[in-house]
Amino acid sequence: MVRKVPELSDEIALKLAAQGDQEAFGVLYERYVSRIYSYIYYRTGNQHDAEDLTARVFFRALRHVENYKDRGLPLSAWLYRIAHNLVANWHRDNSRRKEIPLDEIILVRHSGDLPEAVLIEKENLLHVIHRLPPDRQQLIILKFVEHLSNAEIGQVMGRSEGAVKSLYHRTLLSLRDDFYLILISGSNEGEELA
Amino acid sequence: MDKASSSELNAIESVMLSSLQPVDPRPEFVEGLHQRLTDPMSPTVRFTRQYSSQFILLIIATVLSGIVFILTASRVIISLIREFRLTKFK
Repeated sequence: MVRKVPELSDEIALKLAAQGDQEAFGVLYERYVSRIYSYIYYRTGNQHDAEDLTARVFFRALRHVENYKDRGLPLSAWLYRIAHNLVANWHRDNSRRKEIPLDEIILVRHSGDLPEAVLIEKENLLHVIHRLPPDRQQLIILKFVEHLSNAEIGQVMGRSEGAVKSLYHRTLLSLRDDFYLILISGSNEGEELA
Repeated sequence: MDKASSSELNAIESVMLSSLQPVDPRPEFVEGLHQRLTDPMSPTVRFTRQYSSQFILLIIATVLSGIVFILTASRVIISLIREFRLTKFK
């Protein structure tokens, strides 16, 4: 019998994967690899570590899939949590190593066809995002890169929807203050130079 | 929250919406990892109990041989110093 694996739902694919069906795990992998990679890329700021950590996320998921307990959370929340923990460990282990700033790397990828004013605005934004505490960075990436709703973000972060809303509002205020501080200091430097 | 403040937050949100785009992984990476995850024949390193015991034995042997080396070297140095002193007083 030929089974149409790509049409499997997450729940069925998970059950099959838990029974050792590697093809079913492959379906889940294909479904989520881009999202997990993108999330890790924004948290680490470089392709090499993003690939390494993405591989670790899926190997860890494969190792523990048979013990996975359905607590009403989507599979993506489980994978994002694994990714978040691995990124936290990575930041801890690399705290003494000099890292290439996130904004530099991301701008290199997109700088080809953008006007300078837009690039500076992006650079400033990524700079202030990178200075946020890890949970706020996670929230911003899940919301704007992964386009998750507040309820889904709450599932990933283990918080209520209201708590996510509140954290998001505080994060926006902090981003606005930092962003305008940068803009003001940039314009003052410009005036001094003139 | 006043109108100006609200419009500032909206501006920040719109900048984030336009700036934070998903980043796709390299297709070779995706394909390679898929093979490693789903190919039962792909090589994996497993630390078996036998391997661990061999590793512990290797560490013990290294430490013991290090101690023997330090003892021998210090005895040689001490005997050289003694001989040097004896020849000096003669």
